[in-house]
Amino acid sequence: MSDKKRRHRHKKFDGKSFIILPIIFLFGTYIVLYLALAPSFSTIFSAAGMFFSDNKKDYSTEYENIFVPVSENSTLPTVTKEDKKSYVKNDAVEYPNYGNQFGELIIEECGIDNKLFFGDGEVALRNGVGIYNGSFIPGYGGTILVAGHNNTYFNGLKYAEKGQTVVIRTSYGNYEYRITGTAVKKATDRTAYDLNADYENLIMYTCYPFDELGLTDYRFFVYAELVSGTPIDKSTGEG
Amino acid sequence: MAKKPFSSRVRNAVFIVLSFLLTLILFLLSVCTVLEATLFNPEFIFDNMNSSNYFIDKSDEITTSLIDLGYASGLDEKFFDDFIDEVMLCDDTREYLDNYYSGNGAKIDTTDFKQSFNAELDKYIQENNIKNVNGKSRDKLVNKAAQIYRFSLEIPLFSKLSAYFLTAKNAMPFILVGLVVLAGVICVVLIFANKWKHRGVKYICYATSGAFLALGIIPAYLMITGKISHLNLDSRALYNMFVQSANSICIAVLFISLFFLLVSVGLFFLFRRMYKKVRS
Repeated sequence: MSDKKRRHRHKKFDGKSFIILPIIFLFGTYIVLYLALAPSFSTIFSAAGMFFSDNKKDYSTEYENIFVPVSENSTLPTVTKEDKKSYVKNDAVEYPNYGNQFGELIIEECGIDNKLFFGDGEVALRNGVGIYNGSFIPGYGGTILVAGHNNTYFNGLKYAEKGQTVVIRTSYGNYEYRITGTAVKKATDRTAYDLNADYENLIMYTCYPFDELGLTDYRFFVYAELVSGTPIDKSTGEG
Repeated sequence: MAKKPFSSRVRNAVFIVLSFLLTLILFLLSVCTVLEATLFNPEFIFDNMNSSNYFIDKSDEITTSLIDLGYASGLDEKFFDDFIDEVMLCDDTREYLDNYYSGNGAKIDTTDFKQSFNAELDKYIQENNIKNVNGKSRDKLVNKAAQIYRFSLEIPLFSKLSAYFLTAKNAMPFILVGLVVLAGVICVVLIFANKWKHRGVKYICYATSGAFLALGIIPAYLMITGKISHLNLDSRALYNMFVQSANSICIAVLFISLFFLLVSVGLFFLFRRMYKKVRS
């Protein structure tokens, strides 16, 4: 090939290829990576889903308080159903999220007047007593299982006796229960409570013996039955 | 315009494929280099722990958890004032990381913690004249406190991923050498298989530009969207440490990406100079 011809072939300087090819290489690299990692993609994405959330995590140890006391004379929006009973309208109930303070639990004879939380996590038990989130809120017609520490907010449970009154105040109504009995059971004893009960009942528990130093194997249970309080209309919504 | 002969087009295609392979190798080489310098380096984790106030935050978290344990077991909050020694926490973390990176498993020895807890407990019982102490309940309390301490020091998924992690860590130097050799071979082929050296430079420039884009896009996306700050970890100390580490890794990758950009610009001008020389 003559020098002239060679020079002719070098004449055209194609600057576009310096932009287009790297972009193609970029996509090519990720296509190769995708093909190589495709078998483990579901694992990678589920792991990423575990480690990332939509919002920035809130590390505040503060809790949300949604409790607005209902005065004795105020009228709650209720609905009367076929059984001629009044029910609190479902949309009038602000259902608590895990960790919310949504009420108060009072047993005057035991000197107990505590904040009531939904969920029995560390923040709840640091500030009051908490309803196990696998049980029900007052008025829903199921078992309400309330936990508290025996050295702090539920220390007064040691004075609990049959016939005493327990009051739970929430933003959607006040509920009154009567203590029907107490029992000491193993912490692992699942017969101590029935979370599937189809009637409203309150169970409060704490570690036993009271005032002992250390982590104990036993729990002190206080059982109570519903005396008064307007049930929640469950026809719509969730509990 | 005269049409290029078939053989020339095939040669061009082969060189473009080689150039793409070089992009891929440079990308992997950069990722592996960053991994070797960061995740596979215990000093990197430890340095990030120090600079993100990990030990102070961790000490606060452990104290809070122990205070909660105290509420459940009859211990006053004051019992835990200054109970967690940051030096012990730092030493135990160092030992944990060293054990892990040396392949001895992710072990945390709580013997010192238990001894110190028992000693403090004896003092507390004596000072407060507590009579209601059951040996079994006390042992459970000490073991639970040690468990809280151990769990707090553990890094999530470290023990579960240890087999893969150590295999990758041990293989990394060989992978790096292999990738460097491969990249070198491809560069040599691109330079020497082209009669006109400026063409070899052009293909290498394509590859470095591709590596610049491929490397830069993910850290740039993560940093612009702030996705890293959406990490969902229960511990604030771990969160700060992980976010700082992830940001450091992103910045390292971005720097390498920028290095490839500079190399690409340099190669582009070199190509232009060589090209002009050939034309003249």
